Amino acid sequence: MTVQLSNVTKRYGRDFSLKNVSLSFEKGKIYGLLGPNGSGKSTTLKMIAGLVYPSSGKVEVDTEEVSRQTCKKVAYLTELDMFYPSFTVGKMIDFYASQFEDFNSKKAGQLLLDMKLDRNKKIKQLSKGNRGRLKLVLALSRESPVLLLDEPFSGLDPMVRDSIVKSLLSYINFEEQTVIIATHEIDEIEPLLDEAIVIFHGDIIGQKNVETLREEEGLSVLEWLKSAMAERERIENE
Amino acid sequence: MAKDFQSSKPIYIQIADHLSSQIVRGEMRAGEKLPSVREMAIQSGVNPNTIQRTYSEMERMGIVETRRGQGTFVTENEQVLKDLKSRLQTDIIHSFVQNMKDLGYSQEEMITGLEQYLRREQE
Amino acid sequence: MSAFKGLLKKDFGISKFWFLFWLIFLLTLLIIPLGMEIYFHMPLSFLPMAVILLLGGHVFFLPAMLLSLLHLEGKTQLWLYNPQTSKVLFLSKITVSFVYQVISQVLLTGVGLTIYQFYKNQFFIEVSTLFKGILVLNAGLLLIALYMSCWALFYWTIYHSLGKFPAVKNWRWLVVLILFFVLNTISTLIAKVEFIKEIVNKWTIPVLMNTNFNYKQGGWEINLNAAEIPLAGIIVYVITAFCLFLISCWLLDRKVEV
Repeated sequence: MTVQLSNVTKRYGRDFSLKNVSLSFEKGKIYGLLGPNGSGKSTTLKMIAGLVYPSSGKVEVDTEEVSRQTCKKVAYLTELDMFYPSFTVGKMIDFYASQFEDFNSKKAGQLLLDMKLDRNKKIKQLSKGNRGRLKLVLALSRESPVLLLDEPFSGLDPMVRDSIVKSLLSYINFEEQTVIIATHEIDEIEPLLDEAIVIFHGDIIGQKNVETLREEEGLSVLEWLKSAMAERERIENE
Repeated sequence: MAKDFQSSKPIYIQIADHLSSQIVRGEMRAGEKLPSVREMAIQSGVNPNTIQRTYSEMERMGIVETRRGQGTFVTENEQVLKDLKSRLQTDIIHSFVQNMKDLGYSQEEMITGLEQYLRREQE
Repeated sequence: MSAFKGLLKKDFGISKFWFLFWLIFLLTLLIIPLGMEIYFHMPLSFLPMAVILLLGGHVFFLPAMLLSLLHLEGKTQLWLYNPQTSKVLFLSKITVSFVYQVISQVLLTGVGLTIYQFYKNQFFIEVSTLFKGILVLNAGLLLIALYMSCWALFYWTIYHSLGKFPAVKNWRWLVVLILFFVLNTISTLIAKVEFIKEIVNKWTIPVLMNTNFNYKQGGWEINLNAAEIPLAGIIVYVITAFCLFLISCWLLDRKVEV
């Protein structure tokens, strides 16, 4: 399933969150949407999930313009705290299972075991790391054509990060899903990515295939990102 | 493992190098089955498309072969494995010689240095 | 589990403790007047009054519960990440609040009837009249509460639709307040037009409604009068509620963002 942004601008009053962005994502690839905080990564993902609408331009998922119903096809892990604190882990899973037709409860059960999460534990008693894990369980249990992950590593310690990378690799359906990961923590995910997209001040300043980047320019994504951003700042200052 | 990759070299080549040296060292034997693409991806924390590329590249070099529906196996062709071993040897010698040259040693000095080192290690 | 059932379960889940607190609060508000009656040796003085007042206050219960539920979701608005339509999302919350209100009203009515049982011989109401009166009162309360809820939904979605404009973001409440006064003024003006008044009062249905309580020489005299309710008025209210609901759904779908 393809995801397409055509000349998308998002304005909040006088501030721009995205400026005339055009991007296209295809099935079977993992994309990294990279950039510092506040660069427009989250807004881009929310638009694809149908939670935010563009001020101008068009966002399409599978050639259909996005609406609230788009989330049928799009699994989305938010950077925000999305839970009802009084719920247990199991209740939260059951709620998701009742709302999303593509939710695979069996897969959720397996993921809970993998992540060592207790179904009966109240969400307000979970540590930050475990809340992050639970969000991932909810997103990965869906067999949706599009998977969006917004800062899946934020606030998690390195041990948890490694286990999350492993779960992503185990549970993403690589042949069928379009995966977009927005993050400013590049080290963890670089080997996971097919394509890296750098977004800065609401502007796309580059898109590269990760392996080509190494082959042709001898740069890791992080090195490229830093040079691309430095270049952009130099231009803006002139 | 995820952070152990060098930035100047494509990841698929780095994994291929790693597997090749495992085969040469005998950690993986002729005819042995390699992990599936997904298993390998999970083990190394790398995108499966990259692993797929590693396997294709190694297949092109004849080091592994894919049997339909069964998976990928280390080749049983002795000649290929021998060539692989000598290629790795050449690679190591190449970088040794390069480093020595950079330090300003002549050919004779390299050889005597190596002989002395080996003699000392034997004792 | 169907999607709507899942939503209901979730909405009950997040609000059940609020309802429990409400019931405790209600109980406290009944025990205090009961205590006063006993203390002042004035049977049937404070308690029935409290029951009536509390029951009447229920027109605000549904909208208040609904707004609390919405307030919780409004913190992140991530409840909108859900494939159900906005109508279904709202309906689940209304249903849950409605059920709470029914329970609460039944409880209070029960208390009222219990009091009545004790002092039956001091009243002179026919059983059928009493029954009808209770039914009409309760149904009326629920309907008015539903109508108010539609307004609550409307103002809540307006408030949150304004969230994406930084210029008004901090003054949203003022915008909503102004809108409230403007709409109220308009409806009052319309109601004053003679022609409309005539139409509204043309067809009426009699309903037992006006209850007069008089405390006379240690006893209560209760009169239930039939009130004439204008049919056209009811239709206008129903249509208004319906429109408000649909506008709110549209706003939630298109204008409220995460």
